[in-house]
Amino acid sequence: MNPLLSVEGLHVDAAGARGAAPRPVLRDVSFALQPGATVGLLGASGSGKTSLALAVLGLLPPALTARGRVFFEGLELLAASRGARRLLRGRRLSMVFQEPLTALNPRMRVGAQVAEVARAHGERESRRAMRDAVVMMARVGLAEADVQAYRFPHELSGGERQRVLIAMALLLDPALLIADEPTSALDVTVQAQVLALLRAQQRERGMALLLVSHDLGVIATTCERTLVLHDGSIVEDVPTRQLLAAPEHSQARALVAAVRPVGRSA
Amino acid sequence: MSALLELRDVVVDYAPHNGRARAVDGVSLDVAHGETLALVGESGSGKTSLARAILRLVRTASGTIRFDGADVLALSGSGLRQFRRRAQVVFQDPKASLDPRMRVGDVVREGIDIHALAPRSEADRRVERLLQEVGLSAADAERFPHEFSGGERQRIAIARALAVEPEFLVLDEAVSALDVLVRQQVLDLLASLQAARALTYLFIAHDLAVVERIATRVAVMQHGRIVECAATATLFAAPSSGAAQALLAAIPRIPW
Repeated sequence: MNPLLSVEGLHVDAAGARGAAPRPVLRDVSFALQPGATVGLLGASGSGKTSLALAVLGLLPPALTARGRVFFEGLELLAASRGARRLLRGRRLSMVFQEPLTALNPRMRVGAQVAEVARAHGERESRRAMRDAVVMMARVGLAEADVQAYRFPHELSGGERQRVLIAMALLLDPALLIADEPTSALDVTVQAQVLALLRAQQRERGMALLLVSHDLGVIATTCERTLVLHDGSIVEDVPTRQLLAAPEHSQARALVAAVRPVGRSA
Repeated sequence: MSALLELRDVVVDYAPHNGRARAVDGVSLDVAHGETLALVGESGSGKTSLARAILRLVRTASGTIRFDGADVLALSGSGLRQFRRRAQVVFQDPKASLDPRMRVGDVVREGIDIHALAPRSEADRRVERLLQEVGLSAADAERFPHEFSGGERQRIAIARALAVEPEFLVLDEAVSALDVLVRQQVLDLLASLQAARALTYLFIAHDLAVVERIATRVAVMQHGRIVECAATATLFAAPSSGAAQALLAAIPRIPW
């Protein structure tokens, strides 16, 4: 089976300030994702997790430059035109970000923001776009979706806002969902609900999921395989069970120890 | 041993434009000298409101709060100033709680000056020692908060709280914004400071996994009330309230 996503020798560099040498953010990162796979990307703050997600999405800020190759459904994304990438994003390749309040437009009703995804990908009938948006919002567990769709982001709770973003990401049935710390801004009980939703949607759709987090607890309950990122390099790429049982790299051991129950050693 | 902090039927009300909201609804609780009492609950359960009432940062509608025997709600003048020195707080987000325009040394030093705890030359040395005690260096006094990582900023906030030699620290989601590795380092720091300085902690968190690592006892809040209060091991082994069970169930179950 051909991989859905294949990252080969990806480097990302941050431009140096005032003529200083560029600083490496990602160093020679390679991995592949099969259709329907659930893979966690685990690393501490500053390890390069978010840069990796943004590089795959083609959303790196101007100060960061990517080298290497990123194949998605056969298309090499780093060489592809902006238009070609835009055609994929939101349709075949979707994302959910950490902080739903900053990811949503504060002046636009949430239903219209979900519908906008369909409109951006060619749906001309605005009523149909809105209807599809409401159906999707209901499917991701937003209570009274037909009413909530007409609310503004600030009128929803953090968990409800994250459901809106997930509805937006899933609307066009993507082959890959990249979720960057989707629950870090949420309280633990809401986090559990959102993770359950992501798992259920991933299974139901056979969609691949790349879940980015610093918290192995979040990844271990959701992903079959885990990549550990440390200082811009992938230091482990193993089944999650194996990582839990026998982490090899020192950084992986530290991340495992940080979530191991008290009084329980490796 | 008598309790350092005693709360009896504490009520906190807020008055939004459309009526009255009761954030804390009759809380009674004791915190013993030297223990770490964790206060847990979902967002909106009243944890922070209760902490703010204890520190006299919000008005208490009714009830009594006693700190080391003294009636906190009746304090004024020098008595209140003394209480503010003895009871300190570390907030969740050090980015918001540290003045971006003040050098770290001045941030830590401000309380020492306000409470006139040391003459000028001695204060500088104290600031240096405090920074070293929380794992930073004396030279960091000259730098600004934005030059530090999230974990380092939280260490600065802890040094500031310790500068006035408090006995009681409210840690309001003090490690929630930190990544798991940095969180563990700050928890280790808090534990060693508690042992060295005989501190009493009120540790507020929504995440029980963190609480298990640091708390002596756990009080569970829901809708403004304490619905359960037990030794940490007891609560984790046999939670009796629905709220505690829900919080425990929410901890990601890792298939070890």
